[in-house]
Amino acid sequence: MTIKESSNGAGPGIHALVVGAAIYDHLTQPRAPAPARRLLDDLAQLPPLTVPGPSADAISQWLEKAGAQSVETLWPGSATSSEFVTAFDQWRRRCDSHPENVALFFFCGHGWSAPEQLLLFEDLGSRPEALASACVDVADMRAAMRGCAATTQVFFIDACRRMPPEITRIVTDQTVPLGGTRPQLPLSPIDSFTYFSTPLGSVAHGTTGQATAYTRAVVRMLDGLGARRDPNGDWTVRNGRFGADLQDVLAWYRDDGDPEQKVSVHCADSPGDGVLRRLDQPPTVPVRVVCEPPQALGRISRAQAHAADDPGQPCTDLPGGAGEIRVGIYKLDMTFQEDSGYRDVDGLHAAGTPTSTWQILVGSR
Amino acid sequence: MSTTVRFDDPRATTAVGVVEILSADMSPVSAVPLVGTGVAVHSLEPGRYLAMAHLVDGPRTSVMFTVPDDLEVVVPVPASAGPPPKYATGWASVWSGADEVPIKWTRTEEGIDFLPHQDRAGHSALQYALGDDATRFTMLLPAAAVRPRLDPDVGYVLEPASDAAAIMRFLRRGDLPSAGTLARKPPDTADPATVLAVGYYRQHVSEPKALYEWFGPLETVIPRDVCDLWLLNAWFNLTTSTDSERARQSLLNAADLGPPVFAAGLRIFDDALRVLTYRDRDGALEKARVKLTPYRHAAFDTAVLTTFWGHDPLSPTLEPVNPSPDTPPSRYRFPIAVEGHDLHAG
Repeated sequence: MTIKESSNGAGPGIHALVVGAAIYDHLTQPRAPAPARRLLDDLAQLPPLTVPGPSADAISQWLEKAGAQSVETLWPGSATSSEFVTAFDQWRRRCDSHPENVALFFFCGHGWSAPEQLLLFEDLGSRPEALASACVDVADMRAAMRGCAATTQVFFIDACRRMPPEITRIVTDQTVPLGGTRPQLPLSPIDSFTYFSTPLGSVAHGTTGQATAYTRAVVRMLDGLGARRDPNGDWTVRNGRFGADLQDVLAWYRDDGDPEQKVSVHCADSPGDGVLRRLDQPPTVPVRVVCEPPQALGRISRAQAHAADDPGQPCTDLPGGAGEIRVGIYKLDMTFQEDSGYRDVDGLHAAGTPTSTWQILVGSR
Repeated sequence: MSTTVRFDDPRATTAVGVVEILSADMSPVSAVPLVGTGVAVHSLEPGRYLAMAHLVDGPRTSVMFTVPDDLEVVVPVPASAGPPPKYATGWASVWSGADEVPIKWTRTEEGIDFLPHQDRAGHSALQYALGDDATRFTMLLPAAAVRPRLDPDVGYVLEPASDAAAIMRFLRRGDLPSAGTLARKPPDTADPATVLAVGYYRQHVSEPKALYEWFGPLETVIPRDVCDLWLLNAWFNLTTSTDSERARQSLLNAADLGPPVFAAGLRIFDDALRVLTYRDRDGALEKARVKLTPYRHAAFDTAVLTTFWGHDPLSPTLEPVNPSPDTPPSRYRFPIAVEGHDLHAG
């Protein structure tokens, strides 16, 4: 476990608890009760997990770079339920220090749905007669955090959500107890969102040895693609549209052959106005030109975007009709190869968050 | 000055999404529901704007326009939100409790309005099989028409034939501003599903005062034996009262009537239960949990209405069970067909 605390002072900010669970050494339990044995066997037959470490690293590094007040990380090899209980308690205390804190939780590892999401920690199977004792129920976490002062809370869960038939035979109310007391009534308003990497009943995806596509999309969203301009002019990343935008970003960066991933969002009793991050400057977003006819795209010789309302700003090249550009209105000048037969085009287009597709009708010479 | 945003979706008889108008510096200006073949956006100052269409489950598209030059903007919304239902035939049957019952239904422009049996409270469900799908159950709201949607993962599911479907699906996607644009437009208080969806929206975005104001319309059009009403009431009490007994009693009432018509109610039930029983034991609430947990396990994750496989509406299952789609109809079953986006009965 590592804890990195910011030197920014004691003001409100992001307090993060990041978990990468990958080394499950207790999955082979031939003497376990039958339902538990089947559940463990299913996991044991999967290839070793290689994505939680890089994923935890990617999100932790970004949080530190972005100036989070504290980042506590349980790395593969230390992500046991007992370590988690200690870390969770400390995290909750840190979050509780100011109502404007953002409580950010990230988990990458094995999971089951029962149907509430269970996070499986690395000591899973060490007590096969009480399998759930190494599982944390995400809904219990949310309930435990209801009593925390931090009014903006986000839970990023990158884990499988399959519901094996035996799961209902595991006593799920004996999951890891998370301490705390019952939230006081009336419940005070909070902004609490959970973003799952996959829908209920589905598996999560990853590429061997790399941070998952979901994790990279979350980082991109927090880094600026999830920002919207507030009426007062600030660019802020808020919960209100984060789920829908996260889905867009995941789809945008999906490589050919990668499985399609659908983000699932749990939000209830939350207005969506919680600010996850305030940007210092307008974000840079990915843009992509789509031509009609489509084959014109391959015959572009030059595509340049000029800020429409700021002639002094240097133009941005979009090689092949794609690139990254600061949000705003642009005049796109596009020329085609001499022998293509396509007529050069120009026109106004908007680059907005989270991603922008510019549709161009290309005529013949 | 009024600018008309036109779009092309012949199926858009109810809201398929929301158009957000942004100024040239990307500040929000306005948001209007995408319904019909076009919507008017009023009082735009001269200048450049971006019309960004957020579809319920289609891609996001945007178009630049200039006021006053472009009085009419064409937003290139794809032809449909989600895969269009194909032609399919099957059968349907209405259940009350554990029994199939004679069917009463009326045809509406939007879909079919099945009239649940009123003899037994809270357990009216439609069992149906379309195409190759295994039979499934969907909870019914009296006097609220349903229509089919083709879900790529689970096949045909029925959802409200009104803006209620878009409101609930935006909430589920985590797009609260779009859900709010639909929920805040003058709601069709004659449609029970829309009235209930607005109630869920107000619960969802933590507006207890607004939810309280909505209990009038809710109690006017939603029968008191519908579980959802009590679930919303339970959450309202959790957020407004120091007395946990009120919320507790509402939850107990809800569980006696369950399951809820909208699947989102199952999650409210679970969240409320966890608050009331956190590090505590309550025998009555435990019994309530036992009643609704099987539906939490079995309900389709992507369906707006509580939908599940099972032997009967009281016995939801995790896997499909017989009867198979080609099961000979009982005397209470009747043929149905999907043609285009419409559902036909009889």
